[in-house]
Amino acid sequence: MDDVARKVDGAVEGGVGLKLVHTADWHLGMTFPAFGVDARLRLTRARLEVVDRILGLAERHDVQAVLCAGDLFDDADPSRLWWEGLADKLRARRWSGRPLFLLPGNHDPLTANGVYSKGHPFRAALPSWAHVVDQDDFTFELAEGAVLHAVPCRSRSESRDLAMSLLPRRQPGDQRIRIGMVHGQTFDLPGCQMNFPIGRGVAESKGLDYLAIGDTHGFRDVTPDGHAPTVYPGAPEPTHFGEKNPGHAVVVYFPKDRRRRALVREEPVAHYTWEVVTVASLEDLERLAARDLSQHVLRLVLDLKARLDEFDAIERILVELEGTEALHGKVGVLQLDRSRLALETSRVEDALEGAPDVLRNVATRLLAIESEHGKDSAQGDIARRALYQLYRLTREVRA
Amino acid sequence: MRFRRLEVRAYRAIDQAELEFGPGLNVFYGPNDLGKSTLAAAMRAVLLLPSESTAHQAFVPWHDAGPPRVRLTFERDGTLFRVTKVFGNGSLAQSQLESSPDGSSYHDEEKGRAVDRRLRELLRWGIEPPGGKGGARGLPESFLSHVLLGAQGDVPEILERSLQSDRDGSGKERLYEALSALSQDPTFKRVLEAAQAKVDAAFTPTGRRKTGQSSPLSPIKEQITLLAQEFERLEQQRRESEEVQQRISSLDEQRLVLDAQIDGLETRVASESEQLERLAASRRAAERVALAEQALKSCEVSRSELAAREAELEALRAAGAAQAESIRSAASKRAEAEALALAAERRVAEQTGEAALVQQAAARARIEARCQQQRSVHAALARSVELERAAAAAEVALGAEHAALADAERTQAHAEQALAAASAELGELQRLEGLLEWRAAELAAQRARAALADARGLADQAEAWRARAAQASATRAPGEVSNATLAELRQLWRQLEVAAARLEVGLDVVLSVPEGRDVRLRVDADAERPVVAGPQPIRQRAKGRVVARIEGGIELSATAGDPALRGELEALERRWAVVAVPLLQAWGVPGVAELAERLEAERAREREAAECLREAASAEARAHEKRELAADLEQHERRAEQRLRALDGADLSALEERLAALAAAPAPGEKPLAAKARAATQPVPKRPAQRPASDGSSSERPPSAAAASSGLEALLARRRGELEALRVRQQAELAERSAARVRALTRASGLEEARTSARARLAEAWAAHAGPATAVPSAADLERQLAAAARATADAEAELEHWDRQLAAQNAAVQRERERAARALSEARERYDVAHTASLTSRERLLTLEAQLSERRQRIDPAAESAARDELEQARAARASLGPAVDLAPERLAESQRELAAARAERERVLAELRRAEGALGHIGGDVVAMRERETREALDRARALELDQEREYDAYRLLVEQLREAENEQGAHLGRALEAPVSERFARLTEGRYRQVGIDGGLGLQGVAVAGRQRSYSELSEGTQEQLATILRLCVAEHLETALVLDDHLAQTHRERAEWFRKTLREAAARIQIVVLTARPEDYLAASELCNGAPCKDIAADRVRVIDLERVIRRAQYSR
Repeated sequence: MDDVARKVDGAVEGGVGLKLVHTADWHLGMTFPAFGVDARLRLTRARLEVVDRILGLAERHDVQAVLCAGDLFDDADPSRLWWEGLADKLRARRWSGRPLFLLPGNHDPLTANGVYSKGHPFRAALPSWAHVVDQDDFTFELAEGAVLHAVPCRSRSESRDLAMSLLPRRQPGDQRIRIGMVHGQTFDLPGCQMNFPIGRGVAESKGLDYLAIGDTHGFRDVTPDGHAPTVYPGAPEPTHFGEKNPGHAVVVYFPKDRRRRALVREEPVAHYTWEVVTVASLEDLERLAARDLSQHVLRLVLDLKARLDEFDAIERILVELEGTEALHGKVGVLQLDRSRLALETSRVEDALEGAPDVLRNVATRLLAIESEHGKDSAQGDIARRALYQLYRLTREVRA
Repeated sequence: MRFRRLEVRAYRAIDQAELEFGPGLNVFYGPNDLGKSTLAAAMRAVLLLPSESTAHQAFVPWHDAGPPRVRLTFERDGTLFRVTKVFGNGSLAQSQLESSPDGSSYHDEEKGRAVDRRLRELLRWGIEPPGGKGGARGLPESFLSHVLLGAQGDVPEILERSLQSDRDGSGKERLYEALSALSQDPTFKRVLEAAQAKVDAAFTPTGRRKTGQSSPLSPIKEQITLLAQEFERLEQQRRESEEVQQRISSLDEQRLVLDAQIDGLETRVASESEQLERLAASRRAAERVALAEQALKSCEVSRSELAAREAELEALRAAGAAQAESIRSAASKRAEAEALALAAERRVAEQTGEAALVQQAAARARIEARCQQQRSVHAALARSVELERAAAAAEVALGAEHAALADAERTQAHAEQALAAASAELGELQRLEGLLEWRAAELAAQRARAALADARGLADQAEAWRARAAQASATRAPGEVSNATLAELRQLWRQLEVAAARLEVGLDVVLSVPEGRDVRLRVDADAERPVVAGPQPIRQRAKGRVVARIEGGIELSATAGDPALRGELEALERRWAVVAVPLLQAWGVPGVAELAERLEAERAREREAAECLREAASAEARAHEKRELAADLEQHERRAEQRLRALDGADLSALEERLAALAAAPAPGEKPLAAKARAATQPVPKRPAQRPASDGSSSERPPSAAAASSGLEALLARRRGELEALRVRQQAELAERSAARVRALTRASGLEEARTSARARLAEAWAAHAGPATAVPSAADLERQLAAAARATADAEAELEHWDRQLAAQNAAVQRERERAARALSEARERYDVAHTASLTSRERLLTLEAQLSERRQRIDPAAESAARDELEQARAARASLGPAVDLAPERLAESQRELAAARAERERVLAELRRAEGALGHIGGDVVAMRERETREALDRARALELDQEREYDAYRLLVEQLREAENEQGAHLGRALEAPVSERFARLTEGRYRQVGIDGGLGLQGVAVAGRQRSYSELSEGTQEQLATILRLCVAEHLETALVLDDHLAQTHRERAEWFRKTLREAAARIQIVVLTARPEDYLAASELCNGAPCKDIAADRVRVIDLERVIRRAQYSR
C-alpha cells in the first residue's frame, strides 16, 4: 500500500472495514471504425493496457477485492487476442486473498458459447482468484462480515430489473457489509426500461451497503444522498469524444461502522485523454502544437480562413501533429476536420510573384472560376484547391 | 495508334478486301481505278461516320451485294479495338466496338450510337460527340482527320485548315499534350508535369475517373463500402430492436389492460354466483310448496277416481253378458261351415278315389298301348329301311374299291419296270465315271511331267536375270545426291548466274604498259592468257572483271558493278565452293547439268539392275511353283493304273461310244457342255508329244479339254444324281402303291362284310316285324310302309293327349269347390275365437277392476290427507322467509365466466409474446446495437467526407491542368513554334535550302514560307511543292502524336528526285510510327526487288516495310452490262 492509500485509509472515520476496487466497461476488442488503421491499433491496445493500471491500483490500495461490473469485452465472443491478453495480465499478478469478479454485461452477456461460458478456454486460462459471475444467485463471502451478491446479464437487452428481481434482501439480524453488483441503466437514464433497468432505491430496499454497477462510460454516483452508494465507475479508457468524466476506476472504502456510508474515491487510470479542439487562427494552431498531446486523442477542427502562405504553415503544423510514415506525430491520435478550412484568395498575385506569366494567368483563371461559381459552391472549392496546389507546386519547383 | 487489320465488304466498287497492316511503312500499290482511295475512304467511314448516316448512300455498292460493311482493328495504348460498321438505313445500320488486351478474344465495348462517341473519345481528333445540335452532316471533319487520314488531293484542305475550325477541343488538347514539351517554360513544365501526374493517377486518358485498384481513391471507397454495409446491417438491427421495443411497450400496455379487465370480470362472476345461489334456494322452497299442494290434491283425486272405477265395473259386468250371447251365435255358424266343408271333401274323394283312378288309368293305358304299337311298327320299318340303305351303299363302295385296286396293280407293274431301267442305267453310268477318272488321272500325270520340264526352264531364266543384275550393279556411284540437294545446287547456280549477270555491266579496260613487258590477262571467267605489250595500249573489253598481271609485280584488277552486288556474288561463290564444288568433283562432272545427267543415268542403271533382280525372283518363284506341281507325278501315274484296272473287263471302246453318245445328246440346256464333252471324248495321249516351250508357257493339256472332261464328269454326275433320285422316287412310289393296294384290299374286305351283315340284320329285323316266313319286301315297299306307320303313330299320340287334358279339367273343378268350403270354415272358426277372446278379456278386466277398487278403498287414509295439509303450511312458511330473489339466468354467469377465461387466456398469450419479444430484444441488442450503429455512422460520415475531400483534391488537380493548358495556349502560339522547327528543317532539306522557314500559327495553320528573306504564301508555291509541304506537315504531326498516318497518292505531282527523298524520309519515320501509303507508283517507294512479284504480300523485315499488291487482295465487284 502506498502513502496516498495509507493516507486515505487514515482519513476514514472509525477505520476501514473493507476496501475494494470497482471498475467496468473496459470494452476490450472495440474497433473504432472512425479512425485510421494505426490509430485503431493504438486505441484498441490502450484498452488492454489500462487493465494493468487497474490491477496496479488494487495492489497499491491493498484492496480486498476487485469488482468488474460488466462490458469488459465489446462482444460476447471476442477474438482470442483480447481474452487471452486479459487472462495473461491477470495470471501475471499472482494474487491470493484478493478475488476479482468478472460480471457479464449487455455487450458481453453470459451466453451458451460466449467468452464467459464454462467451456470457453478463457475460463480455463483465468487464475483461481478470478471468478466469473455465471449464476443468478451468485454470492461470495469477501471477508469476514462482507458478502457480494451479483447477477449477470444473459442477453443484450432486457426489461427486467436484475437487482430488484434477483438480489436477495437483507435478512433480519444480518450485520454483514452487503455489496450488490449488476450491469444496467439506472432509472434516470433515457431508454433504461429496455436495457436492464436499475430502479431507484433498489440498493436500500435490498439492504445493500454498496451497489456496483456498470454501463455508462463516465464516473457517476447515482445516489449521492442515500446510505448505499450506487456507482458507475465509467470506462477506464474513454471510447468516444464527449464522454463525461471517463478514464477512472473507483476505490470504495467501507467504514467499520456499518452505519456510515461507504466512501467512493475515483482514481484516474486512462492513458488517453479525448479532446475536441477547434482552432480559429494560425496562432491558435501554433499554440496547440506547442502542447504535449502525446496522450491525446484529438479531434482538431480547423475553422479558419488562411492566406496561401499561411496555408503552407498550417499544412506544415498539421504534418507535425499527425506525423508521417517516418516520424511520429505530436498527437497520440489525430482526427482532422478541415471542412471549415478556407483559402483566402485576395492576395494570390503576391503569393505568385516572380512566377512565369502563364502561371499567374492560370491563377487569375482559377479565381475567375471561383468567383463565377461562388465561394461556397463545389466548383468554387475545387478552384480554390487548384489555386493552392498551383501555389504549392510553383513554390516547390522554384525552391 | 496503329492499324492492325482492315476488312471491307460491298463498299462502292470493292466486293471484298482484307489487309493486315505492318507496324512500320505499308506500301499498298495497284493500278488506277482499283479501289485504293476507296480503302482509305472506308477507313474514314468506319472511324468517323455513324452507320445510320444518310451519307452512306455515297458508297453503297454499285452492284447488289448487300449493305456496305467495314471492320477496322487498331491498337491504342496497348489495347486492341475492333470497330465494325454496317452502313444502311434504319435497322440495317449496325455499329459495334470491341476491345481486347491481346487480340485473342474481344469483348463488347459499345454498340449502336454509343460506338461513335467512344471512338471519338479514343481518337481525340477534334470531332464533336455525335448527336449535338448544329453538328456537321455527313462525314465529320477536323484538322487531324484531314492530316492523319486525308483523302487524295486533300492538299489545299490540309494547308488551309487549322485547329481553329475544329468543332471540338479534343484534337487541340491532344496536340497540346504532344507538343507541349517542346517549348515550355521550365517552371511551367514542371508544375504541369506534377499536376498531370496527379491527374494521371486518378483519371483515365479519356478523362474518366479511374476505378478499381488503380484508383488512389480505391482504399477509401472500399472502406466506405464496408462501412456502409456494416451500417446498413446495424441500422436494420437497430430498427428491428426499436420495433421490438415498441412491441414490448405495446404488449406491456395490453397486459395492464387485461389485468384490469380480469379483476372486473372476477368481481362480476362472484356477484352473479351469489345471486344465482339465492335464486336456487327460492326455487327449492317454491317446489316444496308445490309438492305439498300436489300431495293434498292427490288425496282428493284418489277419492274421485274410486267412484269412477266402480261405475266402470258395473259397465263391464253388463258388457260380459252381451259377449256371452255373441259367443253362442258364433259357435252355431262355425258348425254350419264345418258341415259344408265335409261335403266338399266327400266330392273330392269321389273324383279322386281309387276306383275312379283305376278306370282312368285303364282307359289311358289302352290309348297309350295303341300308340306304343304304332311307334314300334314305325321303328322296325325305319330300321329296315336304314339297313337296306346301308347294304346298298356297301355294295356301291365295294365296286369302286375293286376298280381302284385293279388300277393300282397296273401302276405298280409300270413302276417296277421303270425302276429296273434306272438301275441298269446307273450301272452304265458307274462304268463311264470309271473311264473318266482314269482319263483324269492320266491327264494329271501328263501335267506333272510338263510342269517338271517348265521348272527347269525357269530356273535357267532366273540365272540369266541375276547375271544381268550383277553386271548392272557392278558400276558404283560416288555417292548419294538427293533431289533437294540437286534443286538447291540448281538454285544456287541460278543465283550465281543472276548475281554475276548483275555485275556484268561491261568493262572497257585500257592498259598503257611499256612496250615489251609481259602482261597476263584474265578476263571474266576465262583462263589467264599472256599478252605482250606493244606500242599501243592494250585494250581489253570484259563483261565484269579484268585482272592484269604486269611484269614487275604489278597487278591490276578491274571489277564492274555495285560493290554490294559484288559482295552478294562473292557470298554466293563462297557458298558454291562449300556446297557444290566438292560434290561436282566427287562425281567428276563440271557443272550442275552434267551432274543431273549423271544422276539420271545412274538412277536408270539402278532401276535396270533392280528390274533384273525382280525378273529373276519372279522366274524362281514360278519354277518353284512348277516343281511343286511335278511333285505329285508318281501319285498321278499310280492312280491312272488303278483306274484302268478298275475298268478291267469293260469294253472301253463301247464305253467311249456310249460317252460320245451321251455327249452328243445332252439334256435340254446343256449345249455348251456337249461340245466340251465331245472334246473330252478324244483319246488321251499316253505321253506328251514334245517338251514344253522354254518360256515357261504351259505345256499342259489345252484348258478346253480339261474343262470338257470336268464338264462331262459333271454331266455324268448330274445324270447319276437324276437316276438315283428317280430310282429312289420310284421305289418310294412302289412301296406307297403296295401299301395302298393292301389298304384297298382291306377296305374291300370290310365293305363285303358290312354289306353281308346289313342284309342279315335286315332279314332279322323284318322277320321280327312281319314274321319268320315273310319275305323282306323291296326297298320301295319298305319306304311306303314306313310312311303309313308314321301317320298311325301320330294319330295315336293325339288321342292320348286329348284324354289327358279332359281328366285334368275335372280334377281342377273338384279342387276349387273344396278350397271354397275350407275358407268358409276357417272364417267361422276365427269369428268364434274372437268372440271368445273378447269375453276372456272382459272377464280379466273385471277382475282387475275389482282388485283395484279393493286396493283404493283400502288406500284412502284420512291421516295422510291431514299430514299433507300440514306440510303445505310449513312449505309456504319457509318460502315466505327467503324474501324476494332477483331473477338471473345461469347463462349470464356462464357468459361472465367465459369472458373471464378468455381474458386470462389473452393475458397468457400477451405474456408469452412479451417473453418472446424480450428474448428477441436480448438477442438483437437494444442499446448495444444502437451504440455500434452510432459508431459506424460516424465512421461512415468521416469516410465519405474524406472521399469527397480527396475527390475534390483530384478534381482540383484536373482543373489546374486544364487551366494550365488553356492558359498556355492563350499565352502564345508555341504549338506552331513546336512544329515549325521540324517542318522547316525537313522542308529545307527537301528543297536543298531554298525554303528555310515555314511559319505555323498557334492553331497549326500555315502562315507562309520564308523565301529570299520574306514571307510568302504557300499558294505561291508550285502544286508539287505544296503537296510536298503538306506531306511533311502531316508526317511531323503524326510523329508528334505517335500515331498512324495514311497517305493516299499524296505525291502525284512530285518529281522523282524528291520522291526519292520522301522514300528515305518515310522509311526513317516508319521506325517510329505506322505509315500507310496507297499508290499507283510503287517504284517511288520500293526497289524493283521489293515488289511482290506475284505474291499478295511481302515483308521486308529489316526496314519494317510491308508491301501489298492490292490487285491480289482487292476483289472488285463484277458488273453485268
